[in-house]
Amino acid sequence: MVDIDPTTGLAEPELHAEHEEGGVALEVMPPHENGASAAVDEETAVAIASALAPTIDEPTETGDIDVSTLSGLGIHPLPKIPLPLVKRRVAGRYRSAGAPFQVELRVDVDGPRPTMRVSADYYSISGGTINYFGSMRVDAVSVAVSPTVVTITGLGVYTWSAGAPRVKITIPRMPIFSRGGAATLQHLTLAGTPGATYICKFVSPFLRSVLFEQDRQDTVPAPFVSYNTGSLPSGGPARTLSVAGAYAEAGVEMQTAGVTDVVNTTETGANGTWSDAELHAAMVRHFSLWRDIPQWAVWLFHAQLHDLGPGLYGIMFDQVGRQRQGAAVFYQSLAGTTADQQRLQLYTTTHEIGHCFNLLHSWQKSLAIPPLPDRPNALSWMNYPWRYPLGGAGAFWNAFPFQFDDQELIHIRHAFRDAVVMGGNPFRVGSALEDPEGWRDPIEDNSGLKLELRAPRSFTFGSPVSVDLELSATDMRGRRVPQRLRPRNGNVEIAIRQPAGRVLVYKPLLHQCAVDDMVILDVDTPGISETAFVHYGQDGFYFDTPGLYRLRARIIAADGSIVLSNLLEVRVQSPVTREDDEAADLMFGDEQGTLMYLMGSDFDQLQAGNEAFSDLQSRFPAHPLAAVARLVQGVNAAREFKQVGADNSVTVRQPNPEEADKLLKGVVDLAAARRAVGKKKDLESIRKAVATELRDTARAKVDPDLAAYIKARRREIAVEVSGATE
Amino acid sequence: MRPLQIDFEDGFSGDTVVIRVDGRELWREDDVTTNLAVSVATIARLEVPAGMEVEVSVPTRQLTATERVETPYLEVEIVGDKLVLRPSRELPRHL
Repeated sequence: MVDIDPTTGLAEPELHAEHEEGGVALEVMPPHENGASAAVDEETAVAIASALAPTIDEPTETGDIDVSTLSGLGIHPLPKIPLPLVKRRVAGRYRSAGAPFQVELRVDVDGPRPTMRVSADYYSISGGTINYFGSMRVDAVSVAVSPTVVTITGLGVYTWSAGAPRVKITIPRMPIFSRGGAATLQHLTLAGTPGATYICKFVSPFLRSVLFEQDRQDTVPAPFVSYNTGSLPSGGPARTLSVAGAYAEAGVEMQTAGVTDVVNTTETGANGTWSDAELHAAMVRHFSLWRDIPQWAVWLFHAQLHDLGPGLYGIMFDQVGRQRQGAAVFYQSLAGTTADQQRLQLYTTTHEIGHCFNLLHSWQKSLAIPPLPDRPNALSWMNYPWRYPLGGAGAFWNAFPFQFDDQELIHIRHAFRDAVVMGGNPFRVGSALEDPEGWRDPIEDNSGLKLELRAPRSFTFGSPVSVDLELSATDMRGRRVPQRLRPRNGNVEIAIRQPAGRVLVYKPLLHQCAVDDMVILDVDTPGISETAFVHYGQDGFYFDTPGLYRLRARIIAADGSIVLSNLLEVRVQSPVTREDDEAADLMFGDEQGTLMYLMGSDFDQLQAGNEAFSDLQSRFPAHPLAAVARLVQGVNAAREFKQVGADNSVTVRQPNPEEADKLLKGVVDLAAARRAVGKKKDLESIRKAVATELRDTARAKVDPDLAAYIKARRREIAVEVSGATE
Repeated sequence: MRPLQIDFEDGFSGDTVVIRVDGRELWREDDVTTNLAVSVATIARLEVPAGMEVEVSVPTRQLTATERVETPYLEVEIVGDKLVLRPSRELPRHL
């Protein structure tokens, strides 16, 4: 739960607090610096930033040589000729100090291959501990350059609900040979009220820095060092590239670190080849920097041969627990000093480390969660040269400039921390950075598909918001689409524009990492539909204030088409009575959100949520929100619940059908469900019948917003209450 | 008899795969899932009579395809609702 907002420095409840004074509402939002002191105006900020930068004299045409020494050599100094002062770029990484928050800011507007973005990670400081708090990115920046300062402005997207999401960054322009000036990061509310300010000293021209440890198997005497890209025809300038060099070009500093081990072949076991499990064990044993946490550190192991055989050149094997911390390359196939082999060694090592940054293969971007269109034609480190559709390996190498493609570059430099840091998100979760272009109407749509988004026009404040999705074919020759339209499966995305203008893409609390079955939409199956719960997820509550919300969904079809839905407007009603207000208050809290997402739980850490739901039912039994609480707790009462204790003992709470029946009465029509079950015997048929009945009759029993929630969760409800229908 | 290596690549998710030659089941594996880091699900190494038709089936998806294989390698992937077989003279490479 977010307690303080680093963009404002205020506790969240205070953020929206209004003080009534003589009938006039005054928004209280004093600006803060580093979350603690008052904000500064632009001129002051620039002055502070300049003062923090080291003083360095302007360069002269005689450089560092003392002119007095020139006379003794019979050389007279040249008269001074005024030269235009060359300024250094402002691109790079900056870091603030102080407490309670520190910011690592990345400015990417004028360096090599600028992506015209800025991004930042926020860390909370508590005593001697530093914890990651969240990330921010501005995808569309405005850059103003004066002779003395660069000013960057834009609206950020955040991993939390930021109160002051706009940013203004000012960086003094420093002479070319001096150190970079400090950046002033000023947060602003949407209305332009100043929020927190951070003074961030220049750290490095690199946007990220990773500790890079390499070990080798004892049978690999000469691991890859570097390759001259001019040795063979290519699509870029000739230069000597190591793995560190390839990442330096992407804006990442790979710092050699740790202890270099020579790993004994006996660690492969009897067969002499490496399984993924053996590689993982070797990583834990030999990667001196390894910890089971997200950290900017990666291990590359130069090994001989994988269990899969000589066709496997390399693998990012670390796909359990904290993933993406290690990769291996195999010299049974890669060894050799020819230009071909050296080029392959560079490609493979850079490619495998790319997976550690959570990059998928170029032709598999649609398997990312959430997905993006595949890019099989990409001239990227993440492709397979021999799969290149425009002429195979020969054509690929001739055109390949030895770099990541643009979207990958943005991901590496600016993805939210957990989507890119080693040990962060599981592989492929967040591996494709959101593409704002993908939410705009296409110039031409030949997808043969139509996606519709529907919902009740309004929701009670606090009631769970769920939306109907319907995907249909407009071209009856057949269109292949995922069988289920579910955000949690990662095959449909729903963007939500909140009343204050902030846009979020709904992120479910849990992902199902499975490849979906596909279905062909044609004359026989013209469409599929689903109801999706979008009320609570990784960003917390998406509908947390009354007002008008705009929603849009999209799917990426099997052929890569981006199919956008209509724009849907949903109003969350303002509380009218004191009872509405207090009932809604009991619906908000991470515990309640998680309980609504999971359809209830006995889990100890969610106890506060269950208490709030019980309180709601006893204090406001007739309020529509009490029905939501009864549904969640009734479904949970119907299930068996296992809990594992600290000593690994398992306690089982048996289903309580009487309690379930009492709570669900008036919310779910169990009698109708029993009729639907009829004489069905097998559990799967019973569950399907109950789920179908819930879908078809929910509307008649309860308010439209609760009916939508029941439809969205009908399968989970059916699994639990099917026993009560027998 | 000659060696045949069959690489099961993209598109598998918890599937059962079966290889038959001349109607006889030579190989079967359950719960085959593509590892997206290398685009390989599993690799089968068999000895098959030269010039025989090889049938690959994925009963979990009701997919079957056959190919008279004259090469030492066969790449198999699921593309949409189709099982695609690609004979190859070169060792399939993955990274």
